[in-house]
Amino acid sequence: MALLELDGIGAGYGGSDVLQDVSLSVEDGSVVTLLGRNGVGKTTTLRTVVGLVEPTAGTVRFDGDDVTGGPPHVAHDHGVGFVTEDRGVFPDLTVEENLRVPDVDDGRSLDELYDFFPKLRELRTSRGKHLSGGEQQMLAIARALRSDPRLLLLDEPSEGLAPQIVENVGAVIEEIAAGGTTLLIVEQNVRFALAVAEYTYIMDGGQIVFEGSDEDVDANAEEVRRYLGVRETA
Amino acid sequence: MNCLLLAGVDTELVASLALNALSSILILALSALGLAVIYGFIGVINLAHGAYFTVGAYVVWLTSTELGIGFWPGFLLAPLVVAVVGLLTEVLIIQHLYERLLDTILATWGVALAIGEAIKLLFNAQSKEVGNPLPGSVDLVVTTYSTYRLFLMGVAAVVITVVFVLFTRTDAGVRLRAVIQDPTQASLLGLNETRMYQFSFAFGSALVGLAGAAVAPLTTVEPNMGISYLVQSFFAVILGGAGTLIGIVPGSIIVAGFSNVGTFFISPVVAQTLVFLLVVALIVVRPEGLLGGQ
Repeated sequence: MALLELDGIGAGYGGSDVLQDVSLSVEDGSVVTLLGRNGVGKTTTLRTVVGLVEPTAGTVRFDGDDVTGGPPHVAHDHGVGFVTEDRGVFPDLTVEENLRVPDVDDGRSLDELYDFFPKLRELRTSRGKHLSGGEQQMLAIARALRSDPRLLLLDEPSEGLAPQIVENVGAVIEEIAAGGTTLLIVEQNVRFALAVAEYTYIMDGGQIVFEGSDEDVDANAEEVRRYLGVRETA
Repeated sequence: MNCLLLAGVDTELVASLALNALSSILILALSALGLAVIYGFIGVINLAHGAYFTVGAYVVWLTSTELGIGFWPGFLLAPLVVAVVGLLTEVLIIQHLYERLLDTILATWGVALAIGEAIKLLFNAQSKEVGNPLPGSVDLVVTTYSTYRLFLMGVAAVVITVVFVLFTRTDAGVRLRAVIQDPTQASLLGLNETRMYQFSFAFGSALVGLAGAAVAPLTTVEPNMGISYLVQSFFAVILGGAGTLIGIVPGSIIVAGFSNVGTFFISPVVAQTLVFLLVVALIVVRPEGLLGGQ
């Protein structure tokens, strides 16, 4: 059954269309990636899911409920977590305070999160602004996991991180997926994304132009490469 | 012998002067704390702050005279009444003007005028007296001092401490700080920004309502009594640095301490003028406030 379903989503800022007729579905328990070049509407799609952007057309369904148009705290209460591209770590709160922000009654405990991210336990009294990019990414993911979301949206989790750190993030994502959390990952790092995802959507010019399983991606490598502007680097 | 006597007189004088200054500082800090919560956190310059203070004072006047149920019920009721007034202001007016600084200044000033006129219509413009609920004084060895003022100092110190602990240690305080730093991320983590702003506004209002009720027995209660507290509270918040709650402590010490001691040694007018000049000078030198921008 589809946990998340976008049906004919249109969105735009100030009259210009950013999304046109975007439809995609994410099965419960799956890992799906949304690929595409810069500025094709991937982030806007995620923002539409949580209600940060109100679509001009179409519906967002989560677990069968129409949740189109937000507000974002309602999406959170439905079980949607969103790690934004900028990570959104609260700069003047400590690591531990960042983890205490989510409004949850029975989410994951701090101890559970520290066991998952031992580095964060060491850093728990450091302020968000003093963390490295990789540490901020870990904190942002841990903070989203605090609410024990059913669906976790990750916007470019590998961006700006050293290769070694990207590997760590990849391992963490695989572990989260193994724990049963459904994932929708937006990426520009195609190799990273295809390694973790089992189903792929590709966007271009605000539309979904390709979708398929790993085998479909392999079988249509030429087409995929064209849409992604050849960044399938080693 | 003469020397000892003089020394004794001096000690008593210094002690009572210090206690007067300290009680003014604590009461101002209580009032400024209410303003700091609203201004520093929500970014609303609330010019109705002084009117809220006045409402708090009128609540205790009402309960101790007109309603005949005494001072203490009013003392407990004042923060609640003013919290409701603050909440109504937020829901009916401020909420529609977020991110419009000048408009909120004008709107809250309008609220202040409306409250002032409403008080005149309901209770006329004459000044009222609220009897001292704790007459008498306490022997503090070096001097004797008003029981009620000592009680107030205790209440203010406790409330201020509790508020600091709330904002720095509890989940609610952490979440409020998160909303202030990044409302979008906070909403993605399940926080309802609108409701948190309403809570902050009501909470800040309750604090100034308590300050108004506390001061009522020490002064005359009249429709414009809040103005000087509005001004002094702003000085204290700006001096301390907007956005840092702890900043109101040095801010209040400078504003209330200076005007208190200055009033004794020089004159009220000169003291107020000096405080004003000091604030202007400090703002020029450190626009972010004493503890701001850390």
